Amino acid sequence: MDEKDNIHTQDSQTGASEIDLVPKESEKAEVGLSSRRDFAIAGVTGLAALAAGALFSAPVANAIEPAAIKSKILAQIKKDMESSNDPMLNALTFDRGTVVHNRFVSLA
Amino acid sequence: MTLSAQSAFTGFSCPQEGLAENLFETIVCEYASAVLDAFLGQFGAMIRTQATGLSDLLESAVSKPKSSNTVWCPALGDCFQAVQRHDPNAALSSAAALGLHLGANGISGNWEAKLAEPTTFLWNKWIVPECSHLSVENSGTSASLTAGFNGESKKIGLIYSAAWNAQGTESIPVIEGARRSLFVLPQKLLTSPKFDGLRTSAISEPGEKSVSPIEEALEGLKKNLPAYYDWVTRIVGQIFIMEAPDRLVSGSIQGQLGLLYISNTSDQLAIAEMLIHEASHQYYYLLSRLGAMDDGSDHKLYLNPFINALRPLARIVLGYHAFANVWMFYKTSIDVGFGQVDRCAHQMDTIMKRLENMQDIVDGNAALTPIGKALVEPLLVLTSCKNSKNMESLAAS
Repeated sequence: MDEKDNIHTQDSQTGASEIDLVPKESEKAEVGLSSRRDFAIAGVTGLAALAAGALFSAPVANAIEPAAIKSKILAQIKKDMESSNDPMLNALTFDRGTVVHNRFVSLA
Repeated sequence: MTLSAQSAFTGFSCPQEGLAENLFETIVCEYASAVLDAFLGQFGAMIRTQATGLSDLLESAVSKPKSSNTVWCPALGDCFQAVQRHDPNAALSSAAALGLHLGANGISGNWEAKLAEPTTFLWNKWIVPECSHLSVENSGTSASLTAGFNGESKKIGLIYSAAWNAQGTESIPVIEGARRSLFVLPQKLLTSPKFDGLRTSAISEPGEKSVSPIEEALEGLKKNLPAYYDWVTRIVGQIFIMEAPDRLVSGSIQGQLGLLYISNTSDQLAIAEMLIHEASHQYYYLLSRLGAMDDGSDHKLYLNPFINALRPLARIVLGYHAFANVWMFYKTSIDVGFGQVDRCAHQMDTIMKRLENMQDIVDGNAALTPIGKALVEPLLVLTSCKNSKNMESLAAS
């Protein structure tokens, strides 16, 4: 693999640290966190209800500071600008700049 | 379970997780502001010499309150690619396209630009004909565009009253959604080199026969699987339709935010599958604006069985994310009676034969970052045959 593909891994710590995105203890009670266990149980037993729009408890987004999001984004953009081979920008690309899924389903 | 960033971003994994709208809006808008900052930093001076008022409009978009509808569009991706490639010609046309999109979505202002290459643009659903000189006067409730090319100019008058109405040009098909309108692009709007290889297969004038099935597929999702309807309509804004006889082909194009293409078919289940698959790629891309999916410590190349090609971990995550969502779509379709059971079950079986290999790669892979885990772990629980293992792990946490 081209070493440039891994450039992003070297400076992923230039932005906000993961801790910046973690809600404060005092905020946890307000955000209605869904636990992985809740998710798994609901996933097994309640798919029809979920499909009908009954989603899991509210994610933690309210507790995430926009400044932390901004810091992460700026770090990623800086990295992408410095890289001529942007692995994330190319993430949608499988071949020749496009993703073409030759499917296994025949219209016939 | 230890509370971490991971749990905040699982909404990007699949519809079942529920994506907080304010998180989505924050990421899109902060990304747009950051791209515009970088874009103006590199090209602001050049744009001021080639276009009057356009850089001011873009600058105002950085600081003004905005929504994802205002900024989530292919032109924003084009602006960032121009930055990456240090391409001033692409920068100017991308800035003009973005200026028109912003103008049609509430960021008003007057500007004009002289373009290096004649280009066809859009104002909402209205076509701005091929031009090398473009001037815009936009008060917010009315606008006047003048498109000049080869010594001739064409004027377009627009009035906003609940929607933009125009005189002096034609419109493209639009599918009105609860969250955002889905514009169906004709072939003549695919002029950029990025569409080379796709353009000739794109439908030249998408009409009722090719557009109605998409509307019906979305209506079917809205009625039966509203979480999937939201999944698609939240993030997809433009589409073009490809003639691909006897095959289902869909795709997303590098840097084209909110744009995808699908096969021309009347098969609503197939359309829904393609929309959900490609929308998943858009969520992956947006979440990856916050950082990498893996830490780079896994240098292996893995087989992606869907395309029969070796790929690094991040792209395995990309493929797994999309196809696991499609598998879940068929599973939930059976649960709610949307689509034929036999067909959905067959699709699930066909997909799972390949998906299992990818599950083994991503499940517990220590190289995944919290963002990467947020994307795949909910799907692992929902799709994995190893639910019991995951449940035991969760019970122990």
